[in-house]
Amino acid sequence: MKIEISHRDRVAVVCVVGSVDGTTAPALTAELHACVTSGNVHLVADFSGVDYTSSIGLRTLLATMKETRLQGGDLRLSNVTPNVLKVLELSGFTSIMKLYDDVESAVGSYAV
Amino acid sequence: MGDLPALVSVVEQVCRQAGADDDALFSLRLAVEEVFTNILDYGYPGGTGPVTVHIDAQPGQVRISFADAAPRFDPATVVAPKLDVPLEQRELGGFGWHFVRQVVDRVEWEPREQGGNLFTLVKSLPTASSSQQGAGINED
Repeated sequence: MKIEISHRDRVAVVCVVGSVDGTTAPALTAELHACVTSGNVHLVADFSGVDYTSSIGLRTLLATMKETRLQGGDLRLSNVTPNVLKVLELSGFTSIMKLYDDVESAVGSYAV
Repeated sequence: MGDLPALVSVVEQVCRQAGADDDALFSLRLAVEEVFTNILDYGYPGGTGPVTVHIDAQPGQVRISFADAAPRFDPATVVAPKLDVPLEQRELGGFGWHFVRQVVDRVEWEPREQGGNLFTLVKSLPTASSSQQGAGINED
């Protein structure tokens, strides 16, 4: 898995490439947690390069959402692939997460 | 847990040879990971222990079984997670067996005579060719 973080104004964009499974999720969890603890609570996860996630990936997203929202921020997803969307739908996450078609829309959503 | 990529690779290879399409392969990968990690995370203190996986891929159907030596556990006793509650009331876990039940056609469980569990996942495949292979994964 590759994780790259860039900043656009007050939003941290976390670009993830690879599969989020039992062997890779801990690294993603650590990166997102590090973002939040360093003061970045407005996060966008670009999932265009994520072809798979299991329940442990949802655990990562849920923990980060809770952590950011407690501090007035959020974690929002962009470019979700069909397989990942299926997992989000099976878990009911589409009702609690904000999804966007592209990074620009997700970043822009924080300005509203 | 380090054996997960190898296990997934074998499952995908065998099932693809049996004609599984991309949707079926995704479902099988998800189900296999959820069962495998549940055994390691909840069946074995410390997260390691023996898990033997057998894959039987035939035309039209694949059966994947997991034999462990963990305390007996019937997945039918797992309560389905609540999917319509707000974020604040969401718990971090509880989706594993829910996903498994959603993406395969049947989940079977029986206690092993010598102790432990035998979990079997059954999924229909829309295909023609056949393949059969056993794979032993020993997570120590």
